[in-house]
Amino acid sequence: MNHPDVFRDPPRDPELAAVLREVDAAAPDRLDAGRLRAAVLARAEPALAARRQQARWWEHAARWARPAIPLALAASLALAYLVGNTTLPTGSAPETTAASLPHLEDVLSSELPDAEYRVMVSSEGETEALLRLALQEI
Amino acid sequence: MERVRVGDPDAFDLLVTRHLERAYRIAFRLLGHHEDAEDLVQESFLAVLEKIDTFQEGRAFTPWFHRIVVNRGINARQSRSIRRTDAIPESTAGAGILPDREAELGEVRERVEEALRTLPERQRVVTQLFELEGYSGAEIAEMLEISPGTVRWHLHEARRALREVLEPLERKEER
Repeated sequence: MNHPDVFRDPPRDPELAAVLREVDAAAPDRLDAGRLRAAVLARAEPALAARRQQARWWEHAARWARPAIPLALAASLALAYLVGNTTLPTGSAPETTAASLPHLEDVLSSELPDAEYRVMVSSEGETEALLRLALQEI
Repeated sequence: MERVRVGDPDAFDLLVTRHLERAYRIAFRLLGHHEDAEDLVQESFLAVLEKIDTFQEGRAFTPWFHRIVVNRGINARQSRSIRRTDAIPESTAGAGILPDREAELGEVRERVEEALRTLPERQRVVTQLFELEGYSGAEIAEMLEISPGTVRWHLHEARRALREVLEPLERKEER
């Protein structure tokens, strides 16, 4: 026999099929479909009942989630607002004013304490002033 | 399938009714025994309920289900001793057939049965699904999770082995 064509199904062999059918003639006739169907449904009922139970639970949870999620979100926002507006106790952070900020000349000419240096380079309020100073220096 | 997923018994009943007979035929081809085949069909439908959450909507159910039946059938064959295939009922063999002819048919059946039993399992299953159940190479490939080319190769090898058994019987008949 030649090598098989692996890209296409071979033609059906009715003679071989007839012989095979002779051998397996009993198979389809033995099936009592009604009885087997009843047996399947009976065995499947506990699993189906468990799924119905689970579906009811999810439905119940979804009903509660509808109002609960917006409420939780509103509460989170309110809490975030309150925490953000709470003033810190005195002494916990250095108070900085325009008068107390060092000038660029001081930075260049003298040794500036680290804290002041850090305040100077990180202070947003003084950015423009620093730029002006730098331009003047140029 | 969505209704089966939430445990709707009527939806499941419809699924069973549609697919039961085909599943039984595949199971019988795999196991060669009526009661074993029925057990396999029941277990396969239960497996559908276990695995249904992983079933993708829009996908065809039949090949997915048949793959479950085939995989479980192959496992069943490997794990338990297989009872002998049911004998063909007397009523199907020989009404109105001459005794000599009946003896010849009996010999053909025995030789073919023996040849089927000695085939590697994959070849036997592929042959039965193709020749007897009418599945295409692509459908069988999907059930057995092998390539269509491999299915065709198995079919080729099985036919060659079965033809070797049948040809001497045919020549004998012609004399």
